[in-house]
Amino acid sequence: MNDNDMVRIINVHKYFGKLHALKGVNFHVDLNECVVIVGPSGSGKSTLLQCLNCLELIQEGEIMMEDTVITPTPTKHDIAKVRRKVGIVFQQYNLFPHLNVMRNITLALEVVQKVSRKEAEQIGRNLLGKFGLSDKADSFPAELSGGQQQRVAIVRVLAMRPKILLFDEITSALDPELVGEVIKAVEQLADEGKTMIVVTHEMGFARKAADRIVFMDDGKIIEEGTPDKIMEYPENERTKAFFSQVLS
Amino acid sequence: MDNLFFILKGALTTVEISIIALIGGTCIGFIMGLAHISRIRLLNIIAQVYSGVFRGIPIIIWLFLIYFGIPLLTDREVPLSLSVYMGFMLWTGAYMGEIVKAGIKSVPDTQWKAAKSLGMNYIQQMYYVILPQSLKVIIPPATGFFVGLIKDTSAAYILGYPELLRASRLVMQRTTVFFPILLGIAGLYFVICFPLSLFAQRLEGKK
Repeated sequence: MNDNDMVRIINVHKYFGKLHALKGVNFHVDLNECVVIVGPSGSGKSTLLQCLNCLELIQEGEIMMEDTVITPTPTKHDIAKVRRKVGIVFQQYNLFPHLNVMRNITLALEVVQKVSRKEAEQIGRNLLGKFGLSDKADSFPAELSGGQQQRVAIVRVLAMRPKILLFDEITSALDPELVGEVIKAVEQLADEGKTMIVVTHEMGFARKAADRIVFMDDGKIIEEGTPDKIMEYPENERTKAFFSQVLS
Repeated sequence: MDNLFFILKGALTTVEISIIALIGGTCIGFIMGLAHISRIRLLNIIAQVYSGVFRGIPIIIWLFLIYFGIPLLTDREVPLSLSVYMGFMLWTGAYMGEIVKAGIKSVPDTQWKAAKSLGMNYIQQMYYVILPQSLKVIIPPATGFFVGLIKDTSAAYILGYPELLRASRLVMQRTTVFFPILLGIAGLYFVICFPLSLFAQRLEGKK
């Protein structure tokens, strides 16, 4: 933990009724760091991510997003502040199906950030161009492939200029041949030095783009380290078992 | 023929009740639908009680309860038309509440999460993201309900309200012509309802 922290999670516990989903998680992410979280289903990875922008509330502990502190009882003001700093892309159903791509991107810009329609569309066009989606501005989500939809979801989130990006298994629901284009987009963002936390099963991406990999299981962080270290020389038995299975 | 116009006026009254009930009932329905899905437990309970009570008792009984019951309780008369409008509106509201609830629930959870994460408040989430999508799921069954409502307005006959059935019965008694008139009003109901039910079927199919 140091002054360069963008995200600091201190002893966070989260319950869903009786289910203890996060059991004392301690975690930090530095500015410009790309942290990848891996682990089996049900380990709490998605829950952790959703606690970072108050989609889920914690029952114990503290989360610091830059200088904003999230407690188990955050104020509406804090929640709004945090959501301005954070952009999240989910596994599926991100885009608003009743709006075309450009409107998906400009809606929140206009309605939340009070940007003018003209400026919002300019931002949208620039970002769509950057990700090779310029010709899709007038298309509706249903007309796009899964990979294109996820890339538009990334664009929509980037348009809001968040400080921290969260990706929650964004390729897990895609057909294999569409995964590559989305991974490339995320790698591009990592190269640009965006601060991000990526929950994924894509080990190739993790090895290539992660500054640090965190292994979670059963609501706890078991081990973390650089890709080479944690994948080649894991210290914990469970980490070993996970990677030997996943990398085979 | 005076009698014919009288019957036709009855048909107009039937349509009038239906439309007023639909508009008022839809407004109530939206409020109830939001109450159904609210995180405030009390609102859930109110919505469930309202829905159960109004859907669990035949509309005819409701009309009686309102027209005869309220004067008994409050010592004030309720005008006939008001009783009829109120009864059908509240009754429609209960059914529309369930339809709206189902419509809103049909929108995937992630849509709420995405809208929230982008910084939208509850009203913005509802207005820009959730309600537009829920309309696709609300309109087909709502249209189907409306067709049934038109036919169910015949229940107002019991209070003597001059809707189609009542008007026709009066003419039947005046002229002692029964069966042809009965066939006639069956035909009128059919003419009003059938195109609507075809339309409703098309909407259901389009889904």
